[in-house]
Amino acid sequence: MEKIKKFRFSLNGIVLTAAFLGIVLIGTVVNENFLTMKNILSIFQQMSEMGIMALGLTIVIITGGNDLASGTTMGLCAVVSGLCLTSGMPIPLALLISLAAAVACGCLNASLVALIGIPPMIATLGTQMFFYGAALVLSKGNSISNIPREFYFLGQDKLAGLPLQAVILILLTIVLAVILKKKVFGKHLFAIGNNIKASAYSGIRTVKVLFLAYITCSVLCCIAGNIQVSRVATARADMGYSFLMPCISAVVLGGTSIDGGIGGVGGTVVGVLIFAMISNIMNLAGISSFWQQLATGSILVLVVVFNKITENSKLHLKKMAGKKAASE
Amino acid sequence: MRKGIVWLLVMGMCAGLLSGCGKGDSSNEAAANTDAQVSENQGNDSGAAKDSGGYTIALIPQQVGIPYFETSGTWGQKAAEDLGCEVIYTGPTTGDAASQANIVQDMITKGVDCIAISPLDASAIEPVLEQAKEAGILVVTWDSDVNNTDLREVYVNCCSEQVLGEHLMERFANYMGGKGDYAIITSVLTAQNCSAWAKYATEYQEANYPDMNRVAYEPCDDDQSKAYSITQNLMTAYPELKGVLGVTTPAPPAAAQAVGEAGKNGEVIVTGVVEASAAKSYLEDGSMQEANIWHPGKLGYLAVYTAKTLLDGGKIEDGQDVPEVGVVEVKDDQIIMTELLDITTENVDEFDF
Amino acid sequence: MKKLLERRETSVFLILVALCIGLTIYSPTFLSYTNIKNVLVSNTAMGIMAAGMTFVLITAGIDVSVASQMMFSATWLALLAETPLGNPVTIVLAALLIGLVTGAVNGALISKFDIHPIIITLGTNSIYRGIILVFTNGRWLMNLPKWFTGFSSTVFGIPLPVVYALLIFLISAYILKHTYFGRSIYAMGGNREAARYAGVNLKKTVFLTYTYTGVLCGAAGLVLDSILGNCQPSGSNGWEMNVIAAAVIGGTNILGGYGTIGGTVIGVLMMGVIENGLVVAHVPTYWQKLVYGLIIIVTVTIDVLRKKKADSRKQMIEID
Repeated sequence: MEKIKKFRFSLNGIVLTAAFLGIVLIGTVVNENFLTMKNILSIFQQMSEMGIMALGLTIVIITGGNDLASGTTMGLCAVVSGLCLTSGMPIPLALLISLAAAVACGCLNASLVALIGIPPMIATLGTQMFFYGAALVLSKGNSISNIPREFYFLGQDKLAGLPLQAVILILLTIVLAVILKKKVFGKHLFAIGNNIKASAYSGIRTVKVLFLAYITCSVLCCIAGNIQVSRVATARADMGYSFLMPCISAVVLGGTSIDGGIGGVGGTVVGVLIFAMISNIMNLAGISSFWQQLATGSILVLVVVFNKITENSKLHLKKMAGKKAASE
Repeated sequence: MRKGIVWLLVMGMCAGLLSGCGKGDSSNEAAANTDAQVSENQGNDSGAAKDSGGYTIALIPQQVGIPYFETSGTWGQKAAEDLGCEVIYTGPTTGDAASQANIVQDMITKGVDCIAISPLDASAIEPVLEQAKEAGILVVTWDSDVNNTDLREVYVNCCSEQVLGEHLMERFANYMGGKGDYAIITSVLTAQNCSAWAKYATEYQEANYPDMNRVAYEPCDDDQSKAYSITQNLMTAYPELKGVLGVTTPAPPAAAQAVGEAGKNGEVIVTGVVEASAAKSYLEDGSMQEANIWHPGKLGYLAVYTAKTLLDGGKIEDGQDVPEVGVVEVKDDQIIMTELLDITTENVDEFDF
Repeated sequence: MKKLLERRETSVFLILVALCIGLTIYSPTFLSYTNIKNVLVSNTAMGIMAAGMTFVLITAGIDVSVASQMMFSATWLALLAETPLGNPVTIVLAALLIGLVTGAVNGALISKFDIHPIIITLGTNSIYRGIILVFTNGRWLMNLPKWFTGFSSTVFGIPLPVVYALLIFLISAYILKHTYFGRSIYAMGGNREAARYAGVNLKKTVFLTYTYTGVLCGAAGLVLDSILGNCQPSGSNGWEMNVIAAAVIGGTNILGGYGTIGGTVIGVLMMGVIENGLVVAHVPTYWQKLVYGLIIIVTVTIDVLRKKKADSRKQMIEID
């Protein structure tokens, strides 16, 4: 059984890599500017926010949950920090307050899911509207501009030639990958995703782990929100609202099981990268955005189906081989 | 194994990036980039002289899939054919300000000659427009403007938010007889231009029509079926409701539909921003009184025409007669199209949008 | 009687009644014929889709493409109505056929490859929406012919869309309760393995479930078009979440195995009344989304806590 699981992992990796390379190839053929350093950097800049949010979703989805409120958490945190910044607060304080808002969001999600026991999809659907409403009430629907220039560093500056937010994305990916692979907390996340009852019986404090998972997700959304505020020098309540579905798709594309228990952050980043490249290529080629919707949907279905077909056929071959060996 | 591949990829990209940066650092990357951009532009210019203007102009609306902007896009393409340049019409599919910024960034990478944009958010687009300016790309705004007007060359304006807001209210109040309860339906609460129109309309009413009273201000999320049920709900919630002003294109037809079904034609006034084609049947059956709008197609045409003229090193003069568009007014760095159109049953057939 | 009180739908029904009473006290117009008619009619499309969603959720599946499927059908119907082929008979047939195709594609992909339905429907959600947007270029299809809007006229004071919805609810409830297909759905959602051993053809059941949902979405597209008199291909974005919420509020277990059409109807009414009530009760615009979210959270919380209590009581009895 263990072997088969490992096998599946690598298979998904191969399919994903093939899709990735295929898209890079198409991009290179379509537009000569695609593989320039400048464009690669701007893809990185554009995907970072979605990437960071998708990392958070990966953590929650691994526990067998889901956070439909992640997009609006991002908007709420963006508005909170926007309001703080424009009121003249020092930047660290503003970031801290928006972080506190994120922790509160995460706690609310986690209490509904872990303490009361509402299915995550439904609990976070309710909080999704609640957070969006809160952001609207706070901002009165206005976009908050006049963000102080000192704050632009987060989304517009470069570190060693890389956009700062890409550095943050890479660092967060590494940290989370290590946590998932090596740390007890990571093992617990997977255990809960596989079987929450068994985990509880085996002494895992499921409530605490779930709280940490949802808070992590909200905090990552908060980071993404602040990066976007800095990148576009504006805070709006609807920030991140349209990120939710692409993020879930990217997590799934990256090989994380929507039922929980299987997955990782590396695949998620590649999934987000694939979506970012698709829209970049289509923009470079001057193709209508409507086709982008069609293309992302098709790629999701194709990759997942292809994955399954190859897996099934390999399994079949293995079975055949096993039978042969048995008969011999 | 999978992890291995993923990491390999990430590492590979990082390595590529770092090596690229190394090169950039040694020869001052930013300057090199700008130089490359400029020389490319010059290349385009010299090419332009040969095949009479092979400019590429990105015409970016606030959102694709809205009839208003689709009309602008169609006319923009028409202008491209007439003037012999290439127009790329593309924009975000949702009202997401950040994704519009991404599109602008991709257009800079593509190396277009001009970015003509209708910003979704007057400030959120500024950082990328700065990048465009640094890259030597001509920036023109149309339909709505940015806060920092240094970032763009000119603003191709239909009329200011204030003028439209006040005009909307003036026409609306005219049908209301200057008194009674009314409601405004907007798109989403975060849409800047619709909010501004509603704000100026309300302020104008407060100053000039003291007997009118705004009882509600509701968003319809640019969804017709939602605008329809909101109008129904408003009529229930405020039995004295005498008028609905729609400041987003899906709202007036849906409001008229609801008013017509309630048998309140003429009792509840419906006017607002909407295209002639969408308003036609409601104007004719009496459930909508008037549509106030400018010609979105001509606006798109004018934006492309202006971009081409500026790229050629020319200038639009005050009182110039622009083909297909008509006489335009130039005020400082604004090019103002024509007066607003008031569309009623009498003249609805004259319009083709 | 006691059984009725113990049912999951009951608590939601009581909250709904309380909400309606509160609203009526606040604003008597809430209970007027016109308002009730408006709430019912504007939620028919939602209700029809929610009936399908109930089937899907009972199998422990999910379909996030319902809104796209509905608009897919609505758009092609509006286009068809403009051609010489357009007449009431062809439109009805086309609505069901288009829904059948979109639903069958979902069903086939999910059952053939045994992939989690949320993944497939996330993909087809973008695909269906993308196709109609690319094809129409986002153009709205205005001025549908009179015979088309006639589908939603009012006869003897009863709006026809409500009649269609009622018919669909009755048929769906019958299928769930009294057919082999319906029982397989419950069996599968309750315990997949057990159902398989009991001889239920899982693949076929899954395929039929999503196909049936597709057909209902097709019908919802027809109803939506006829109510509005025109079609906006980019419209009703995000309705899928409201549909899922309506079914779950109505007591359907999102993890499968439990759910009734009656409960879903209550859930749909609940959502409709909240939306209507926010305006009728003059809730300030910026607060509406917040209140809406809050009511959903509270309703679901009460429901879950009630169920927990009932379960623990059951366990006590067993111990006794």
